[in-house]
Amino acid sequence: MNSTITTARRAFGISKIYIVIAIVFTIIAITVWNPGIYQQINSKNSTVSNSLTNNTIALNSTSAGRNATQFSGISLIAVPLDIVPVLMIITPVILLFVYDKNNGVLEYFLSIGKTQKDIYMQYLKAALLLASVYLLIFVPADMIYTRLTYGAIPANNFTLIPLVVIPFAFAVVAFMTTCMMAFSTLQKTRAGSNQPLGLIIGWVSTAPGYLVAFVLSFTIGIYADLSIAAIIAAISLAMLISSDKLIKREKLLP
Amino acid sequence: MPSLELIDVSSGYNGKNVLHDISFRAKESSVYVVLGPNGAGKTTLFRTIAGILEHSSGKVLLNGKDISDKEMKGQINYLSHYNALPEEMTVYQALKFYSDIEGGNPDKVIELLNLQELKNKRISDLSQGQKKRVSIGKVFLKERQLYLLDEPTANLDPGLSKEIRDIILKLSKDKLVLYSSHNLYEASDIGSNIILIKDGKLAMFDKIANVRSKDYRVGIRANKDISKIVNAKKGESGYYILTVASPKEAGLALQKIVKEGILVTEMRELDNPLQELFGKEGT
Repeated sequence: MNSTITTARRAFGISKIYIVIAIVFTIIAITVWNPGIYQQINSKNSTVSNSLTNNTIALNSTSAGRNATQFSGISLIAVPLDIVPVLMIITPVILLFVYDKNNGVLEYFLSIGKTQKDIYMQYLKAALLLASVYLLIFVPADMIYTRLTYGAIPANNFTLIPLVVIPFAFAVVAFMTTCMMAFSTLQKTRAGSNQPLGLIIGWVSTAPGYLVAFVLSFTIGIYADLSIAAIIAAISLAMLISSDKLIKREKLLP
Repeated sequence: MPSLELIDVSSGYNGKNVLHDISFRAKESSVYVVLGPNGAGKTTLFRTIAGILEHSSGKVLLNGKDISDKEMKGQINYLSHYNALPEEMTVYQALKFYSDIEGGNPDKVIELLNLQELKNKRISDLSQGQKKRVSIGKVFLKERQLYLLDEPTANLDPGLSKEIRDIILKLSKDKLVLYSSHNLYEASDIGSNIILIKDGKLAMFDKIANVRSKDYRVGIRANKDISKIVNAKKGESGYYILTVASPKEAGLALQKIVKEGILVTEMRELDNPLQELFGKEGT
């Protein structure tokens, strides 16, 4: 745990710009897009939901206290959107990995007996720790702000969306971090493409979440998002477990 | 007493061997200087012994046990020629970072290497030589059975190099140290044994005294004939060629010439045993 905290702190220390961008995105998420989405759920006569949710069960429902199954899945668009700041927060971990590889720190880790998997796990845990800290602040802040600004929102929806964000975000963080560590390990020349590529991988892995929001109902969408998160997490885990066999130790040398 | 044995070890990168069938046994607590021209395989040898690279064949045994054995973890300290320092940290934080991983006391290392004035400076603000000092510092955090030091005094000024060598010599009284260098004088200053690597093969494993006993030739230019004073032969380009057993003897000869009131305009080594050993690439 100590090495995880140290790695997370080091990542936090090497690049402040991503933290600033994440904070900006978070403020926008809490004050602009999430309230808009929640309000759309709460609206008794939402014309927006009518136009976007032709295929959902709850087209013309008027009850504010209705069951979650009746709502449009469009509100689930908050899930992939809320993950964007998480991707920003963990990008410094990817930068740190590249930096440590070039600087010989990974070589040092190998010399003290760590395996490729141990090293990947160390940086992945740091990324998950940073994501956890972020979500621990973001989720309650989002709920409180929305509650204070827009009043009561049906309990199911109010809690379900941020709660789906949590497993989805962890899965995407694991996938993005593992992919980028593998990419940076195998990269022959330093082309400086790690940051944009990492963010693209992260964003692409959230893309099914957007699709879910547009084509499925709320309840089915929730299950679909959770299933997608499980699949992404399983792929990341498989990559991680096989890293000792797939990636040669010398690839981690400067 | 620690011992290191390599038995027919071949190793390299991406399936291509750089080292070929290296075998030797180092069983004295002393400094073994690993010499060889650039690209000979010195760093690959160190990485293989440290377990960073998996050897494609052969065995690496420390105190009779395979280095891949769990018990052997933490018994080897490897100093890469990369500094491996987290540049965003201060010197103290960097040493603490390593002591948290492998143990040891950063304050003791700071005292040992006189790093007090650098203690609170960020690694990124240090010169290459200062970074090297800090990097060496992490070697002394915790005692190990075997030390693999890959060009530890590169980028250091002569005074500091001497200090570091003295610390390593002290360390080697009851430890096994493998020390890579390009420089025979440095090697003869610190080492008792030589491991010469050439084209990925073991070219020599011997007492360094045996290498030093070979001829050492110095060219001297002077304003008068010095051939009778120090038994030098007149050579090409106005040089008197002096053949001695060691650089120290050359210094004594110089003293003798100067005492006679002769002006020495130039003195240079013409070759040394390493050049012979390395072949065309020289030192």
